[in-house]
Amino acid sequence: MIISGGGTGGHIFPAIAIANALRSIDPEIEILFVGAEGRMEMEKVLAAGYKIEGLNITGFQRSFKLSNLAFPFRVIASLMKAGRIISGFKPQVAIGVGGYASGPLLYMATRKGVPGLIQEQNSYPGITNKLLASRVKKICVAYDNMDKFFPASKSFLPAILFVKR
Amino acid sequence: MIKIEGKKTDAAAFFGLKTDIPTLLVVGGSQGARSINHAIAGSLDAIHKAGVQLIWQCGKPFHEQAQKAVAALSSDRIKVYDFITRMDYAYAIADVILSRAGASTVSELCIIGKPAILVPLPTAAEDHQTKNCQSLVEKNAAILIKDQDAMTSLVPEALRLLNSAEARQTLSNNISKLALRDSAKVIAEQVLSLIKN
Repeated sequence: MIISGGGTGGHIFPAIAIANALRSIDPEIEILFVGAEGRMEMEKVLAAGYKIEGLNITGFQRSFKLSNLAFPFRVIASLMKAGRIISGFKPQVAIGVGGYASGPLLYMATRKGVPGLIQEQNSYPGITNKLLASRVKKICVAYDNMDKFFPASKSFLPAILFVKR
Repeated sequence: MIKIEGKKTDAAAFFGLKTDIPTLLVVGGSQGARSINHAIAGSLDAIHKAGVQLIWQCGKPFHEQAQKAVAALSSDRIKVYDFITRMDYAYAIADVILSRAGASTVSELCIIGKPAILVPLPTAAEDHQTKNCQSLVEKNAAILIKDQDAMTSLVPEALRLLNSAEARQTLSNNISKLALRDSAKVIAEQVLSLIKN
């Protein structure tokens, strides 16, 4: 398994919870996290006892900034590194929890035929997840009106604890 | 996802309340909360005398009646709204939350991890609100009051909780655990199903 993404606690803690849940179902599962260099996931994931690799990726500033000039180069470099990580680790599934790193990682994983799953816990999806929606096999959402954004056939609801029976 | 961390001071300013007084939040919903509204309206005096703060979302149909009842008390610790636009603030300042038990509300309560008293709407399809509640009550993660008992039990139970930091802590710990654990497991199972395919 590869789990990618991060940026804020809102992405990282669910990611660690998913990893723990996978381990509790099957303790033999190998899990590698992929985060963004310099972001808080790099230490939080290690603290939780998992391995993590970093991509040199940042967000695109939505206003004009000089730093945006480097953005395309970072994306290409990140895609290449993501590709190398996938070729080396050979995951059976790639999971994206939102945040910068999940973009290049899930893009490359799905390109290489690795089934992908993304998690969107907000009621309005982030740009990364919107771009990935058509490439992945499953999308898990927290609200039941998300078919506005994602194909209903792929979506399932994990964060709603109780379903009407 | 609703975020309440660090918002208590802003919340107090927003509602015109204080941060250091126990606060009860009552969320009636837009229409289906008659029993909750009547229970609150009938016990405003007791709530005022208990020295706690109240934020009361009563819904549009009951708003005029609720405003009159509150005005008669002239208490600056009781705030009534037909609709609360900043639920994050309301959750942030609340010490106890009193609400119906719809799925979205319940999952929100799990995420914010605050002690809750739930009054399932008995007319909900197949009584699913009661089922939502029972899953929580079994884990001592919330308190259930039946709709027909609201008038007599709701406010006394709320005041008891506001007075017991220990009871609040227990409920709060237990309801917090429900939020992530179950959804993480569901996601993990979906992940594994992708391997088999």
